[in-house]
Amino acid sequence: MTAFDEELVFKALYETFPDPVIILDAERIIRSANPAALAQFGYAAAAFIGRPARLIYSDDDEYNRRLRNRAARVDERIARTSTYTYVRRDGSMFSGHLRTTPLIDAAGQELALIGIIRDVSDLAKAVLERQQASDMLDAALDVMPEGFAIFDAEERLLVYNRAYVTICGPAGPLLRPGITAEEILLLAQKEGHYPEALPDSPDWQAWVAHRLQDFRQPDNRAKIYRYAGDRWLRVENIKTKDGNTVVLRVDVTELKRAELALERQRQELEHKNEALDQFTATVSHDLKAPLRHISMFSEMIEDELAAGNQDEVSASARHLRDSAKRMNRVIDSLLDYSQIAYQISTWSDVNISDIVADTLSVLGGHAREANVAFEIGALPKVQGDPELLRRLVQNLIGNAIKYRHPDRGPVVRVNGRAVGQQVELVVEDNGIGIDPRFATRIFELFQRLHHDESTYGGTGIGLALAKRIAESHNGSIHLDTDFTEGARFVVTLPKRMRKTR
Amino acid sequence: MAKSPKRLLVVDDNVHDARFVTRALSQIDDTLDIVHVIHADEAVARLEHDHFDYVLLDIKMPGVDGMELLERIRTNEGTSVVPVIVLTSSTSPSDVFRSYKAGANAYAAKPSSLSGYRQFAEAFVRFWIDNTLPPRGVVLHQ
Repeated sequence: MTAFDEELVFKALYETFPDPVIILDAERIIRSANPAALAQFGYAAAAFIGRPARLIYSDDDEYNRRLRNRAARVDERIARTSTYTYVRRDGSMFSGHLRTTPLIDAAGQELALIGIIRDVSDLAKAVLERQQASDMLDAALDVMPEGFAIFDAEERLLVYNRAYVTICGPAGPLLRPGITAEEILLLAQKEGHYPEALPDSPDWQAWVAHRLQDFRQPDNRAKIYRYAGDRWLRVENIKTKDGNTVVLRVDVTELKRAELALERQRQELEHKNEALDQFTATVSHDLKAPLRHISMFSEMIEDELAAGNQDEVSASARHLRDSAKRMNRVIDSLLDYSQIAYQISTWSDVNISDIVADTLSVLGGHAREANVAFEIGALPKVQGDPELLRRLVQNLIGNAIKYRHPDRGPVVRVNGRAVGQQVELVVEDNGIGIDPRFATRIFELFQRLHHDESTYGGTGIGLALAKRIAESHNGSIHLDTDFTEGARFVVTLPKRMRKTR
Repeated sequence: MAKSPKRLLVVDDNVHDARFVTRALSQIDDTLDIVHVIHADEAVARLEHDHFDYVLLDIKMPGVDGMELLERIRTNEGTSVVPVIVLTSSTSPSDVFRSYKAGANAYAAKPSSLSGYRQFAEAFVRFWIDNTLPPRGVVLHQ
């Protein structure tokens, strides 16, 4: 066995090394090239050795870049900073990652430079393709109307599109890779981006914690949140297998508005249906009762005539007549009520003071008889149907006089005041008052609280009518249950009629 | 068999209707002790102090209506098993349903003829007075 010949080993390594190796002298003349280099560049040794290094670079620019990089001692370990375009003898080009090792003499003088050029064409092509794909994706993401972003496992922003910037509102301009999801949330929250978590709301922290919780442990269900400017967004957070979080934000304002409108209509319809049910039930009850009585009393008259009970006959006849009268009153009330449309068609400026003055003169005789003291304050002007408003006022004042207390001198007070865009008309008395339990029921059709029709007459239409009139003016009426001296009704009307609903 | 006098509370705001039913019942069974009140609150007061074997109840009344009164009767320990017969002008299925749901033992529409009242009175006496079978789910304490 021969002794280990180092020189032979290195020569063999040089000859068989798979990557091209080229050795330049101090004047940058090619002094040596291994077979891989000759094969890669397509030269015979004689045509390659002795040529300047410029030969293998694609053009002057590329060669000069190499020289500049060498002077700047760029990091050659990284393909990105040390890859050049080389040219073969046949003119074809390839990307090569160049790594060099200088040979220095004892005085520090550079004698030669060993360069290894690895063909990275495939890699470079892949990188280029990746870059193109990435650019394409970015472009696609940017034109997407949906907000899109990816956060890494440490909740730092990695990628985001233009829509996401818009959706982040005040935090949008401050977005940059590396910012955390919590920082974005807090930045937007401080600027009032979330109506459910305004800076002065007491539980904004709980709300932010809730949003973060959904980001950290998403339950894979989209949620809809309200954003500033009355926008609604569908928020979806998705954890990916590699620990990143993909967030999607879709503006669903139009959908949400349609949904809300639909819900409002549904409720309105339900309300109307209930009212209709109530209406038919009450009407049938109040019309059927006197009708039944008429039938009963006529039959009784027949029986009593046969039996010769003259006294009973006249009593039954009186009841029969009363029942007929009562039925007549119910029908009149009903016609009255149904004539008032839910929406008034003619409106003008109405001075409530004039209406109250008219009412007092109409009810004057009755009021004088009862010795009623009126206290009328300053009253507002509104827009509405003067005839309907007159009936509203007349009903309320009429009730105040009717339900007076037997033991005290009746006082009726009428006052008005403006509250924002609305005006309030307050009618109060010191009468017998109304049990707060019936504060809403009194406004239903044919609801009466008093059995004794002879003391407190009426069919139970007055307040139902008042309510319908108030509502036809986009207003409302309620009983102030805090007022205990008597009854106090508050009518709220808008200052100006909205012409469309 | 000698009948022990039974007590019936009629709750109806309408005096005519109360008179019709009282008359018809008395004609069928003159031992029946009938008390008429026109107001639910009054009925509550009477039920608190007096014993009644049955309540005849109108559901459409001013103020506290019969449905509320029925619920009150059922939740009050002393009256929770008193048979309540709803006698009302309404024939609407929702009123029938609501009445039974609130704990009514029977439901009848107010008749509009003397013979109708007579039939109601006969049926009432036959079922509720002559027949000692308690209504389903009711335990009699006697």
